[in-house]
Amino acid sequence: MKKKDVFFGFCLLFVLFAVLPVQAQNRLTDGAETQYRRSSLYSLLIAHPQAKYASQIDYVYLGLPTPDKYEDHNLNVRRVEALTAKEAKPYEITAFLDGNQVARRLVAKWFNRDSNGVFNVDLVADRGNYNATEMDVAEARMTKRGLAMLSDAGEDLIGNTFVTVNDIVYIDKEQRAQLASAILQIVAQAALVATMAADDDDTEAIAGAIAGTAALGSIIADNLAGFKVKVTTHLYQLVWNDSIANLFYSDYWVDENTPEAERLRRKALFEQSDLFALKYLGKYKVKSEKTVMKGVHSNEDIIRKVCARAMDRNIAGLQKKFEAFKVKTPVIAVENGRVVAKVGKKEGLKPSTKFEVLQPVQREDGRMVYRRVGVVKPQKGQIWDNRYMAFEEQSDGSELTATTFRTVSGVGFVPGMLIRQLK
Amino acid sequence: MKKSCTIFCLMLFGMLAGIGQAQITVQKFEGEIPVCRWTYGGEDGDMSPMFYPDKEWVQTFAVRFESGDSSSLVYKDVNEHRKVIEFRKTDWKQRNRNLRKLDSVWFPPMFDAYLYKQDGKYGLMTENGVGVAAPAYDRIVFLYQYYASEQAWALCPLILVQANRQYALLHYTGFIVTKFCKKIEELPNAWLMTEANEFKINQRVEPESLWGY
Repeated sequence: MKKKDVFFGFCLLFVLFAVLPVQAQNRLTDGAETQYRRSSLYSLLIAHPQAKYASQIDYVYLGLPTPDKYEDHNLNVRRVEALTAKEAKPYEITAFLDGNQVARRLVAKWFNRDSNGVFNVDLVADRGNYNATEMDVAEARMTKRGLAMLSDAGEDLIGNTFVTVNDIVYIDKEQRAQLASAILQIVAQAALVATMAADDDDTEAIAGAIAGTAALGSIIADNLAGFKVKVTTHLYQLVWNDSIANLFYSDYWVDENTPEAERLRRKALFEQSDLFALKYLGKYKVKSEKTVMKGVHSNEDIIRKVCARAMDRNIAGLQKKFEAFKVKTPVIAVENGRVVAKVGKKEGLKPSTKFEVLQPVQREDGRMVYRRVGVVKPQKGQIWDNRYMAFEEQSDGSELTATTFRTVSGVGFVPGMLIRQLK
Repeated sequence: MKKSCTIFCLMLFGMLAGIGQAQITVQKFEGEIPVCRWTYGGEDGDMSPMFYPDKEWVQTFAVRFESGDSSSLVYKDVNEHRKVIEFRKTDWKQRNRNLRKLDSVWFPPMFDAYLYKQDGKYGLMTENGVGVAAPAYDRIVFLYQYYASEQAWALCPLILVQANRQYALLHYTGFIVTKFCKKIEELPNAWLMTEANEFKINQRVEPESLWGY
């Protein structure tokens, strides 16, 4: 072997060893990006059975997964019928939620309450990345660290439980669509006549193409029938503070060690309790945008796409409007000093949107605090289009898998930090 | 002469190809689409689900789609009696366009939900070929008897679907009424979940157990 070759091989090995660990350090491992604390969401549909496409909207809605930036905190009841075809009033929704004690049920879900009224902390430990054994409520309440952990879980997890009530109203644009369809059909017919009458090949080909396009347009117009919806999302937050938590742990908590008589007493107390409440934060309303037909194969696809996108816009709008509803997203990589995160147009990202970079720090007592270490903005042309069916639509940015951000201020960003949208 | 012969042959071939396209593949489905009797729950608190194909009932699925007449479906019942289903709606063009895209279609005489297969995946549609559930499932099983722990035996309009090696229960209207679970045994009480979504905004959801918590 030549000396030159040996030298070259040595250099290659050096480069590989030098570069690979750096790359590994700058990107989160698979699965790690999902391990961060998220807000929990229970979403409910207000259905209008009197309206057209009601059943299609129902099943499309119920088939949509909880947005990945939130934990699924759904109860069994996901759909409730409005009394008229018009939008439900906030007081009607509040009355339904209060009358059915939804706040209490959300708390019960947090603590996996079973039919005997027995609670456990498995879900809290899982979502908060706590050690489940350390979180034994009876023991935790006796130590300073345990108390801090319970308080932290309450503030960071249970207090960030939200209810979105989506009122989807179909906007009937069918007549307009039928008119468009009729015009296109006339064009198609005229072109067809021209094709039949044409002598030369070119004219025939052009007329044929027009006929084909117009006929296709007519089919699409028929299929679509101007499907548009207006979605109003009402946002509620579960009220959870230290005084509620103290009362809950001292008066209602039942575990496997609770004596039978005490268990029954506490079970009944919890079921009659009016301690828990939902706070109405506000609402956000959008009309669905024009549907892009690329990648859409059926009426079902259209309805799903329109509803999914309208609801995503509402969620993004509510996040902008209400500080408490904002989500944190982990930085999955830092490439050439630029932050990369799995957030995109679905979350309403624009080149002007600013994000703060937060460093999660666990204090000695176990509490988690978030310290701002910088501000970033999306890099133009590097915004991920993660909207529903964007890939099928082949829209700009849909080929990306994350958004790259440029730094506005701050240094030393590392994967695992979190970003949160600024107003 | 030669030229006109070629044109004639081409036309004939085109016609034959057209007929072929309009036909829906009729397949033997006994093995492919298991129609099952599903018992969930049982006596003395036994909650293990039993899951077995019901051969007798499968026979009633002997349905044949005869192409050519797009206004009706012809099928044979267990006793080989010829039965005809007239289509209610008349948007034949749309329905035929939709049907042509499919690999195969089955018409089980229940639920008003027709099973179809497209690109190897199963979906459900209405009799007019309008999608009820997208062709996203590796397997669909019609469940016609379902026993929930707190209910009596009942004819239950539920469909078990499998996608990405996970199971869920689907209502015939297209609702997925449970979460996707890795094992059939993990499926929650779907009967109750379906019931839970039929309340008006001014009503109290009762019994309270419908909420799940």
